[in-house]
Amino acid sequence: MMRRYTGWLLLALLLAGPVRAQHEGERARLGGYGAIRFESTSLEKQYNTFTFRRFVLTTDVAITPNLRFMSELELERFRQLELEKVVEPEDGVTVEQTVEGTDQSEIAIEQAWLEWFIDPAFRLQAGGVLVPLGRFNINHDDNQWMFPRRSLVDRGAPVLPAKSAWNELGVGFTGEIPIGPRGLLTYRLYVVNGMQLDVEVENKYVTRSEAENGSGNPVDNYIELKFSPFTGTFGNDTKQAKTVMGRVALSPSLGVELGLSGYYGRYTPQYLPAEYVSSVGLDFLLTRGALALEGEYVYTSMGDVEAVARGFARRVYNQAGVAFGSAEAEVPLESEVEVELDGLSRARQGYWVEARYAFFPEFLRNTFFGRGTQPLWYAGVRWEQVWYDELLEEAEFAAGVLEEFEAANRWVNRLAFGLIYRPTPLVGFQLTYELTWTNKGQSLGDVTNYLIAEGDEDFARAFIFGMVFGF
Amino acid sequence: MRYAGLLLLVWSWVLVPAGRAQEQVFLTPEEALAEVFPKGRYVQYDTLRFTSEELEEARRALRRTEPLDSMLVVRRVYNAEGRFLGYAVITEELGKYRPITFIVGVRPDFSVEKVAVMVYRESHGGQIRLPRFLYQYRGKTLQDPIQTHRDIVNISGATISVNSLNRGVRKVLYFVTTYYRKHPPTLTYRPN
Repeated sequence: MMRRYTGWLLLALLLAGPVRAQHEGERARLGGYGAIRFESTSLEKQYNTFTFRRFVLTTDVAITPNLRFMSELELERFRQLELEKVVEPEDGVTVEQTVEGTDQSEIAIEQAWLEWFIDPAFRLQAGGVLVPLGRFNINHDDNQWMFPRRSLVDRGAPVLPAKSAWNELGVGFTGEIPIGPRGLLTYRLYVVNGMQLDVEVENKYVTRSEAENGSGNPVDNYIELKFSPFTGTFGNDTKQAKTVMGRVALSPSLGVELGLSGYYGRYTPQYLPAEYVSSVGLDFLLTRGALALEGEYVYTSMGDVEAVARGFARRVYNQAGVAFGSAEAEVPLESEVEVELDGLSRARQGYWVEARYAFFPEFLRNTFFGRGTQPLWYAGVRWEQVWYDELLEEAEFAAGVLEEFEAANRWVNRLAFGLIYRPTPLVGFQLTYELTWTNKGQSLGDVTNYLIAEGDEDFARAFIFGMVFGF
Repeated sequence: MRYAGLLLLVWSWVLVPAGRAQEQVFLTPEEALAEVFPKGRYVQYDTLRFTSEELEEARRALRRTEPLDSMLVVRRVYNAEGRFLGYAVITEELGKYRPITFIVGVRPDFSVEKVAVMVYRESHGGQIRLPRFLYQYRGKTLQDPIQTHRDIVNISGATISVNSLNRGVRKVLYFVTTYYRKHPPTLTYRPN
């Protein structure tokens, strides 16, 4: 009996689709933001280039009036990822798999959380939430900012335990409480899995000329296992310790805000000695008319890094080794494997301060610059400093013993001048000139994660033309 | 029972309402009027109609690309003694996706008395309804820029909504100022 009506039911389902889609248009919103730039630096190996730095798609769904789901999917320098798989049943079975992708590309979920709106002062959030340490990470959309590059503290030489945009999986509360007619207190408080020391596997193939080689194997294979701090897992929290994080911000009036934030939790996995990361952040925003002053200070301690290195040496046993595989007659398959501990320092701290002024030259009012929705120009300057206390430079170990532990006190400064034209508040054309420098005679590449600097390149000039957009 | 799952799917797809958008009604028109002119007792209505030339001129003056309505309903508000308090206009401007409905109270000297958000339909950015944001419009005239980062402080995460309010307040100021400068209203009201 039911079978007779199944077709009709499916037809009804099909016809109902477009009607429902109209309703859904009201409650599900698609948005996004992105950044494209041209960059020219004085560094020898960092070439002038266009970069599609980031394209982020956001969905904001009002499931019911008090239940909301928000997500951000990020494509960083991404163009292509292609997977080919072929199984051929000839002479047994041949399986061939090819992965094709573009360089430095990344796909990531920047945030994905469900919110239960109980009261403006009390909203439950669960999922991958932004870590509320400082003010940048929670307002990280590229099109909101004056300068194309994210701040050193948050991204380039991260004082945050993990670089921005940083999210963690967990649950917590957020809300806003009016204080008098002009004041507002906002808070975010979460329990999450938390960042951890995780491994990154780098596979490197190096070709050599026959003459240099001699052995008849023109390709060397290096495998590097790099252990460094990473955003916490969305799967199984193997360190079995949760992290607490939160931020409280007081805004006595609109355009003025003072924030205090913190982050505390274990970052070493169970097989290493227990060490904890603790961060504290102070941030502010001061606005008066067309002038805005904004800044952030963050201090992070990672505990006894040498103890982590010793425990790591005991566990990994040997730093270098050779992996053997099946070999063809002329080309023995042999890989050099190296294990490395990276990105750790006993403590680090830094700050950024940005001043910007909004204006519109009247002589441009009747040109194409005057079109658009409330067009504006901004001129600004950003000054940043980061200090690393005992930044791990080298940890050598063999047979389970830490033989050498080299750490250095390093710093990096950056000064940037910028001009941005916004035809509408969500779109900006940026022009930036920046100077970055570090300890005399030492590489900028060791203290930043975006500059490709040689051993003694301690100074870099850069000119950046960027376009940012949101929709 | 074999088809229970299918029936459930169809029921949930076809019959269950898709859910309301996050429409938040904060004020009815009467409440909104009382909000901007708490001492208002009597209201007179003027329906202003504009020609296409006037609208074009308004668009140029307001530097607007969005269309303008050819009609505007203005409430003239008087207190219990019949003294003229000002003009009130309920208007709408498009936010990021949906219109925002709000009221603008204008004093007899064509400066803003108060702005209040009546209906907000976006899922976030609702901070624009708070007095701490809306007080910024008090005293603004057509000579002021009424622009984010110039004389209006932005709310992070509600940039488009802030802009919508800026545009709407300027629009109301423009039409009220230009019309009533040419056609001054009676400053006293005598109820029958």
